Amino acid sequence: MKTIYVCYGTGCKAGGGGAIAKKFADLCLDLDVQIKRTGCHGLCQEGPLVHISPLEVTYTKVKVEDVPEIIKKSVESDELVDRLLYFDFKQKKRVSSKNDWTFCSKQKRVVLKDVGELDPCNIEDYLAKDGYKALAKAVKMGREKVLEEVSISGLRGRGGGGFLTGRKWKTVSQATGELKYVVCNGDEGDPGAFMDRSIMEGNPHLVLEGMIVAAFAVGASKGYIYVRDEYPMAVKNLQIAIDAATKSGYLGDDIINSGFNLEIKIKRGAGAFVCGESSALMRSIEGKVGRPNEKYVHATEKGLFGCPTLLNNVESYANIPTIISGGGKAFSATGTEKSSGTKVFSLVGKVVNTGLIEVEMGITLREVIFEIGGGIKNGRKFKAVQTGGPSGGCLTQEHLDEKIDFDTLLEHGSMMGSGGMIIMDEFDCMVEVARYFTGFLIEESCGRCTPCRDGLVEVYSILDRITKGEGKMEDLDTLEELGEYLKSSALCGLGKSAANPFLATLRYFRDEYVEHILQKRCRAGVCKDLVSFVIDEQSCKSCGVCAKVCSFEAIEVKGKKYSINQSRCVRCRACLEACKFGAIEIEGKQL
Amino acid sequence: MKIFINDKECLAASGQSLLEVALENGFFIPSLCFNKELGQLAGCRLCVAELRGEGWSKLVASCEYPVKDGQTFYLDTDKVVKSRKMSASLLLARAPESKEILEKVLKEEVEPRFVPRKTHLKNCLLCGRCYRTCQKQGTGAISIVGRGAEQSVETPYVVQNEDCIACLACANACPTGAIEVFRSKNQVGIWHKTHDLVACPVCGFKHITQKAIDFLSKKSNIPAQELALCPDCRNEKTSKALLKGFSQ
Repeated sequence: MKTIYVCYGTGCKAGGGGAIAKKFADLCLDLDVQIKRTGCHGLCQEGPLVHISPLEVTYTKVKVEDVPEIIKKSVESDELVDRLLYFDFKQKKRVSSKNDWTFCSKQKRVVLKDVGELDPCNIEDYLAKDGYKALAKAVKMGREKVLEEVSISGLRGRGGGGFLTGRKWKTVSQATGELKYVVCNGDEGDPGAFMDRSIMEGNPHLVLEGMIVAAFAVGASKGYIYVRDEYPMAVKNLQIAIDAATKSGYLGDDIINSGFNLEIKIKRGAGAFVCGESSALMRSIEGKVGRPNEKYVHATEKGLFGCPTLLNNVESYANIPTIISGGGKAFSATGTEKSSGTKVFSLVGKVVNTGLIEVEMGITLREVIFEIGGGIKNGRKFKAVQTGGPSGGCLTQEHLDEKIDFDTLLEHGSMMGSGGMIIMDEFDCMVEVARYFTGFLIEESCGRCTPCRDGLVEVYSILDRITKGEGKMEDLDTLEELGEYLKSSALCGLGKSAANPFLATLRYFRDEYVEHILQKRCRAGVCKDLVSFVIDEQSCKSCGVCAKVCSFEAIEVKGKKYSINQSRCVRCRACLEACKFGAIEIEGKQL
Repeated sequence: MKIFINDKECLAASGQSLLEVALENGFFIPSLCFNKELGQLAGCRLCVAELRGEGWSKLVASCEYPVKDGQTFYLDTDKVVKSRKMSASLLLARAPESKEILEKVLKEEVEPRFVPRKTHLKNCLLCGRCYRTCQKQGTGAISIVGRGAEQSVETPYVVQNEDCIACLACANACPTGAIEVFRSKNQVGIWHKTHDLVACPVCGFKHITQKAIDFLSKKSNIPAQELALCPDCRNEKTSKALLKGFSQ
């Protein structure tokens, strides 16, 4: 019997995944096939994706109209629909199975192993993949042994801090208190990040199982999953999973006859970035305003409702079943010495292949960007990669061969964060990037402490001035001073790390800042007040594409000679993006 | 237990904050959002102190930091002074007219460094004394609204709030006079609402709202007619009672 996996991850769903699944269901009524709506397969930009096994063929950019042909060729017989196969730029040919894509070649899928291969709303699918076996094993092993295995695994918190999960679990298990909580942080708010979302949507039982094992190990009887409400499918799938798990005896009272009870509830967040911070998250669950507290007393002793609380990220929990079934030692053998295991990243920005990836810790940035990511779009030059979201920093060309792990990233002024990876090319202005992230953080700051609330406003106004060509050299010193101040004096992690975007860009791209200030020039052609575009006669092939894309009729032609009328040009960059010959040149402000 | 502040050995009890211990031992730490009755908010960051360990040091908010045995703190290091000065100048940009008050709190001059900003409540330093007073006394009519730089003390949805009894406790708690109060012979206006004042049964001076009388009477079990007395008449009544007591 054939199985048709239709990707129903957020990207593919938006692209029509639901309608495609329905069409398959309608047309396959009389056929001996199974149709599954699965979670994210990874290569979102090629969606909607359809995978058929045991033929092991993956179709990309499928439309509803393609369904009859797919059924006729690949379901009723074993032929392939060539035109829907993914064209792999590295291999320079169409590749039939997703497992052979260059995009997948360097990946190691542990957390995402079953995402895309099961129906997240069906517990039977999860059970068929050895689901809840780790829980049964954990119960048999006993609390102490579970804690030990997690410690041995060397797993570090995947939410950003990279704290040793085993140590955290041990502290909570030793904390005194009749009632203990396990909390799952699914409040993923970084721009360009969708790792946790895809895990929660694509394999919610995996997260649940990790949480149940954790609760068993630390002696917690209540649990919360904090999910932002902007993730409706994650909320829905998790709720279905909780209900199914309760019905099957993996949640509730006397879990698999062990005498251990656990109740898990979903708490929907209203979309405040700061609620991803542990203490703000707990206040939000308590029904209070989501503002952080000083963490001089740890949540492991006094957290949610004043009880000892274990808070881990979605991905951390999702690693637990693997650790329990395979053993901590086997897990610690993967990745690097101090950062074991794998990490899920969302690869976005100016790379050829954008999507969701999982790689072994210790892989280099070059491998991620140029092999998995397929390099920079349109053959442009790589400039920087932002890791760790708005609280992280950027890494440059010189770091391409650095290993990706917690400590290396931190050492270079960035951080792992939850795993967003934004790739930037030569047409991205680093001052503008810093300004954008600072603006985001101002919006998302809770406003309790002076450094974050008022300090960031000053940072933003300086960056804004610089992008407008009104900056002064002293501004750079003030920026550095404000950066140090934020790091040392802000109340919570959000404020302390809010300096990273501008400090990191200032550290690696100081020349760009200086250029903005002294030469009033933005080399990336982004800061509108500081650029003008001109057409280079030598490179121009007079194809006229630039004139076609210009909405402002700013491109004039005399005979075969094209030129830009500066008074009409609004510097929207449409011509720059459209020109295939690189004939549009970026110059400083025309005086 | 013992801790060290600026190398001086100080006795401390478990659970005490650094600020408490420092004040008990005669040290001065400036603080704005901390108040003995209201507790700490750890928001203003003027009270930072440096906690030093072997080979490391970090700033802590002394109002909230629970001291542990043997810890070493310094109150006037470069790191502390730099941070405090920056906090002060940022607060000054938020409330430029509060320079004198800030200087009084800090016991040092504050240099304007940044361009003054326009904020919703002019002169408000967001120390939170007003809404914490309001919440502590049980009226809870005002709170923080908004987030980040846009946050302000206000009534919910920035409209008049039935829970406000116009007791003016918030305005009295405010160190900078940022809360606008309108007063006339018959009325008092605060937080988007004008309230009628009730007359003192003795002299007729209008000084309190009916809502305040009801609220306070319920809360304190003091009869409403007592609360309706204006401060002068109450004084007079008390002193007369005292005289009466003496003469008997």
